[in-house]
Amino acid sequence: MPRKTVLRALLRPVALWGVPGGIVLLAAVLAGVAIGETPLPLPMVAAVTANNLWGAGYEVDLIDAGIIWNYRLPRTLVAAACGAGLALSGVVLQALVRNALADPYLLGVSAGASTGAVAVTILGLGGGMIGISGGAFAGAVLAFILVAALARAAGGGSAQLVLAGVAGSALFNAITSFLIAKSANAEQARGIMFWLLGNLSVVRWPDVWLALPAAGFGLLVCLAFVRSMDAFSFGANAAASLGVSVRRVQVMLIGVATLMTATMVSLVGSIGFVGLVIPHAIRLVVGPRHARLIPASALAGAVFLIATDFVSRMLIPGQVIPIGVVTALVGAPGFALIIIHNRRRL
Amino acid sequence: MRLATTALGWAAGARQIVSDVTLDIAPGETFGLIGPNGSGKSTLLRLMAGLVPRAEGSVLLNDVPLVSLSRQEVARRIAFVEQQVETSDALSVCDVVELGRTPWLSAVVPFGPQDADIVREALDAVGMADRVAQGWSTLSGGERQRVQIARALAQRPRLLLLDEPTNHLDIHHQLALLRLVSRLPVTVILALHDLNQAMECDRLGVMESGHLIACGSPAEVLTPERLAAIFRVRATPLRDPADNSTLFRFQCLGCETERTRK
Repeated sequence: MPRKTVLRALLRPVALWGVPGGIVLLAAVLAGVAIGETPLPLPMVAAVTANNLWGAGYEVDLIDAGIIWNYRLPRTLVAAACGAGLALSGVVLQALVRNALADPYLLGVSAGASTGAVAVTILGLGGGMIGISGGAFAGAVLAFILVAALARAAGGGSAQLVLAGVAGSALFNAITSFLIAKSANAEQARGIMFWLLGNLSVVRWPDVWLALPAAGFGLLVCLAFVRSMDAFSFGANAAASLGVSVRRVQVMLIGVATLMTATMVSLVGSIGFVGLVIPHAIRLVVGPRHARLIPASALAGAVFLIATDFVSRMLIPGQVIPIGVVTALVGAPGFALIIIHNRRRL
Repeated sequence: MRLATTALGWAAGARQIVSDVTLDIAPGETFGLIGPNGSGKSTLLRLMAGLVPRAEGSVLLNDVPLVSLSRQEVARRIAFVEQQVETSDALSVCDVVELGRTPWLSAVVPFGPQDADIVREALDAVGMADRVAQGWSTLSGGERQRVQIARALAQRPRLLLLDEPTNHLDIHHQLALLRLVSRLPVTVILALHDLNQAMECDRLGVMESGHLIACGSPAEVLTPERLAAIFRVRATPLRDPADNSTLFRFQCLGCETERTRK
């Protein structure tokens, strides 16, 4: 194939999806920054961003500038990255595990993260060298390794992975509860519960530099494997006879999904339902083919989490509700509608 | 494409499912595998497709060992249609047949107009061209079978492996399918249950308890004695005066005694 055709074929989806998707995402981020307890006009948001990015030197109120640049913008960007990352992980796991219930927390990642976070906060593991995020990340990866090893020992099929995930999650959740019951004081217990339900209010710029690359890298890897994921429609054997190196693709994609989820959970706690509901909902709109499902789910996840973060800040004036509570409040009824809609297929 | 197997076998734990199958199938040949339920036909086909881990023996494709090829290289040569496949995805007929192009595509070689032509041809060949937009979940068993065969044709293989492809098909589509595959310029290996249909193959292999116990032309292989021993039927050869071909009428051996006992 001539190089020009290849280039055009690569650029076409970028133009088709990237440009409108980018505009929608930009609009969502701007709205997320502008709307809040103190509404800030969009021109001011633009001016503050320009000041910080290339020193444009517009005159702005210093307090407002601080709210925009140090608080709302990083928070909105991390929300977008988390939403995209969790939705992508959900698509990947549903495609490879061939189970409609698969979601990013299926593999014990969330349970492991909470154990790691609790071990750092309450037991003081790591002697202050690693923060709550570091502990959560280590716990998430450790839990996944245990779950994957158990699934492999049980025969290595996708049903075994689901079962191992259930066992692993139960174990790590029990350890978390045990540690809290045994050692935490009331204040610590409350703090941990807040973190477990998802908390974006502690997010600062360094978190952005972890979340954005994780989501971006995950999106690129997923886009490179859209055909392989399609080939799994009729199961792993069918994928193999269509020329997919099943084991390599599984290790690669599940690995990327785990790293994305572990990064997001360690930054903001476990935010439920995004990875489960967004892929199912988007499938109803764009169909089951991954060339559309992957970019559409990433975008929808990002916009959804920006919107729920906004709701969590605004629902009760002066009080922030954990974002995981909001995603579940919206996600559970949404999921109920989807399963009713799909009742003939599932 | 020539396919040669040497001492091909596979054991599930302590149970030997297929053992010591040595075969040489010529390019363009239509080779039928027959045998009772559980005789190892499906496993043998999966072994030939290289889909079974820890296989014994070896498979050569045009003198190239199957194990030396990547999955993608194998899928460009061999298309495999399993007995029954299921999906919970809301795929259309066209989506399923397009999957057949997977081994020929990559991130830099996207689905193009030639691929669309190949998919349309494959759908035409199985008579599903007017159903492209229909959902997989709304198809009957026979229609699903035909769509899977179109998917295999869209792979443009040089060797086609079909596991009981006439299952679920009405008699018209059974005959149409066998005619289609025997006319394809590729090597075809298919497992069959209907012994009269097996008569149309160039050669037959008979499987029993995982062993290949006979191999040759249908007339050599399908003798009344062998059919009695393996399939437990009395086979009476009949001659069709229309084209002078032989066909069998079967009676169950051992069934009459049970009836008389009642």
